[in-house]
Amino acid sequence: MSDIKIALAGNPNSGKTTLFNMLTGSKQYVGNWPGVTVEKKEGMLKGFDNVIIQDLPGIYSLSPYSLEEVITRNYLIDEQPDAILNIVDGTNIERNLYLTTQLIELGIPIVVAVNMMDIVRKTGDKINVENLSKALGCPVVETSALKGDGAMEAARRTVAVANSGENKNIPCHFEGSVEHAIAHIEESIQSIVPKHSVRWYAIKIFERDEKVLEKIKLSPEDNKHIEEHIVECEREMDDDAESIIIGQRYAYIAKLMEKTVKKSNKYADGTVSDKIDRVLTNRVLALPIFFAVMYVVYKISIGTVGDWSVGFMEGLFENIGEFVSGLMEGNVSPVLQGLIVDGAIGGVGSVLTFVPQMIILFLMLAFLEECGYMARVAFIMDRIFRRFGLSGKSFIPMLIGSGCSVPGIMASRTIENERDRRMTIMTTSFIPCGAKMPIVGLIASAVFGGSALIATSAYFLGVAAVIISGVILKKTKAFAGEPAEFVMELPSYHWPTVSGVLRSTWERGWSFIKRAGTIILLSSIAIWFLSSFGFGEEGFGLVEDMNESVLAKLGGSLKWIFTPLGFGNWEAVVATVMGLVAKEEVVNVFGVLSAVGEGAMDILEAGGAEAIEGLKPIGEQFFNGSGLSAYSFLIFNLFCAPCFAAIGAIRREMNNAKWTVGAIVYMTVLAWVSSFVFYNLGLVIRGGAFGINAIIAIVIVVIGAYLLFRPNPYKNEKISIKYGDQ
Amino acid sequence: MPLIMAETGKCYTVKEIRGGKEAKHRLEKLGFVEGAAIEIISRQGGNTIVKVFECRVAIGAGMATKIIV
Repeated sequence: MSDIKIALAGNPNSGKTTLFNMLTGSKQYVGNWPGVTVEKKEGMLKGFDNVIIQDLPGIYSLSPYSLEEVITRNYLIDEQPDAILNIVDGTNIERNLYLTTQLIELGIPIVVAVNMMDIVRKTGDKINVENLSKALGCPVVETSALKGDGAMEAARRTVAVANSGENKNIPCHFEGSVEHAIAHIEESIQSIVPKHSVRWYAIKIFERDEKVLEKIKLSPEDNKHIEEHIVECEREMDDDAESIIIGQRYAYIAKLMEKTVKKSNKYADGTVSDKIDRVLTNRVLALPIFFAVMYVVYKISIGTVGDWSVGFMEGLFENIGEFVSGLMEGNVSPVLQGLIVDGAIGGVGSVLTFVPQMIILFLMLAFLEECGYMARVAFIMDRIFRRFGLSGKSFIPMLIGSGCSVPGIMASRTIENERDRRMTIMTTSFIPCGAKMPIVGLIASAVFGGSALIATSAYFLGVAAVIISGVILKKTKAFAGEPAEFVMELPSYHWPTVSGVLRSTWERGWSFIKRAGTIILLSSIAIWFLSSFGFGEEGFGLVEDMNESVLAKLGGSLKWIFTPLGFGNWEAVVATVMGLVAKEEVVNVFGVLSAVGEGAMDILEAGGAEAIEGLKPIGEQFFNGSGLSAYSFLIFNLFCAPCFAAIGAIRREMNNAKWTVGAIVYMTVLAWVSSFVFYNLGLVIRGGAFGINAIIAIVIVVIGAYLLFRPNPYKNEKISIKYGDQ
Repeated sequence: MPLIMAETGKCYTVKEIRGGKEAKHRLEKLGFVEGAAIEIISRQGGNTIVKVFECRVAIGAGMATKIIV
């Protein structure tokens, strides 16, 4: 018996993911749809050995306007699943049925699952499932994904219709003249499209859907004939064809609602969600409430609980390192021991230390996402972000990026507009992530007497870099055009499920851990090799002094790049390069290369006077105690190419080599230019000589100001981004 | 009047959708069709949260000027 393929389709926020997880359990395969970064999930139906469930992206309709819609359409038309299980949010049934009517037209056997029935019952509304089933001409099942009711029943019914074959009962819901035109179209295309989907194709041709017309190339006579009918309809209804179809679909749904849904008047003055929204998105209160929520989130994840967990993890990896060292002592060559303990365990450990802190942050952000608040945050921030050429939806990636850029960059997927998404990917890592904070702490302690202003200024710099980049990039050809109009469906507020929050936290955390195990492991080993080997007195081999290592030589050969920035010594260069593995490595490198020794991170964590005293040698040795040099170094390290893990995430999300390289180069150039300007103008202000560098710095500032304030040359250019063409 | 001028907390009926085809269709698909009953939930600058077909939709100021109620 061959496999049965069931496609799971429905609106976003209809409980589709919860249902999918319930039906497939842990037997899932997660990948990407070919050529795009939209997640593709597949799983085996529990209790069956030949039923595959294909989760489709959440969509509102089958028009070709968004990436998700194109993917879903292509899958349903080209792959021909054996049946569709359509999840409908019962609390929001009118909107959801809009998609349902289109899915039915495809002619694929279909079962409609009216989800969230527990909430529907609670509000006192009544949905007459029998009438709905009769009107739609397909089975309708009540489910409640949160409680698990009806899910398996819905799946079994879908398997049954898949076995029984076609869905023949397609309800007609357009007015006379439209039906007339569609009937004519059906007649002309029935020999060229799959028989069961003839109605869907006919309606799409009526709407003049470009993608469908491209696909089924009509003969010029047919085309002319059909066009006449469409134009006649448009004249009669005084509207364009697509609007006619949309309008009549909603009219049909409104009629259907009369027959099947009885609303209680319990919430005549608005539902609970409406009431919450009146407060949380209130014109005056929205921002203060938002800042209060964020304060609590960061206080817990970065402050109290987070701090404690980082300390714990560091201790753990130190112990693992010592334990492995003990095992190997005398048994294996010191080279291998160094490779494993210092290279592999040390490198990966330094990254994994941040995992608990990140998990706590992601846990809280997942909670805010699942309960519906994050969608409101995007709405609140849109007003502000729009001024800088970004959309409110860019805000969530940056929020997550303050924990770790990797899941932050991945969170940019929810942004439909490609330009806005690319811009978000390019700017997310400017927000200092958890691993950049130790660098900030080091500079603050070693040079600035532990001033708290340094940390605050790092966040300000990050935000400034995002804003400046937004404004400047928006005025370039690649990013021309207004940010996409903000349109976002806001889910009802609800208590998140434990499994939902945990799943999303785990997925984000795991994407980070996985990289720690692959790319960071490899690069840690490479860096360890470069820093431990070199040309010593006895030729090439293991060197005791890092000064003689290959890395030191490489650093030395690159230091001319950084001399104009005020830190042209090979140690600072090496620290920056090592920062590519993981940003907090910078602290360790400075420690090892100075009199402070390996415990630099511990001293930094001790904080207070101890850190200021203990780390002072670093400031003296590498920056001559100069605040300008040290801060210039900080600026460069905050903005330049992010760590390898984040670069990997950028590559995956950009899905395009040119854009990836462009993003990295842009960041690094911005970092260099910012440091250069800061350092050289700083020197002049301090009363230094007014040399060539200062002149260049002023020229850069003028060019920057021009790029920032020039009128947008592409302002009136309307560029529409087509999806799925890459 | 355009929806951007409508009062928070009040109910209206959609009379017409203006603007280019793409924006028009996008709004119509969200349920902003002629005759649809809507309610203004809240507003931030010009960005507005509107309840349409029992569903809350956040739309930008640009979109809000295209909906005539």
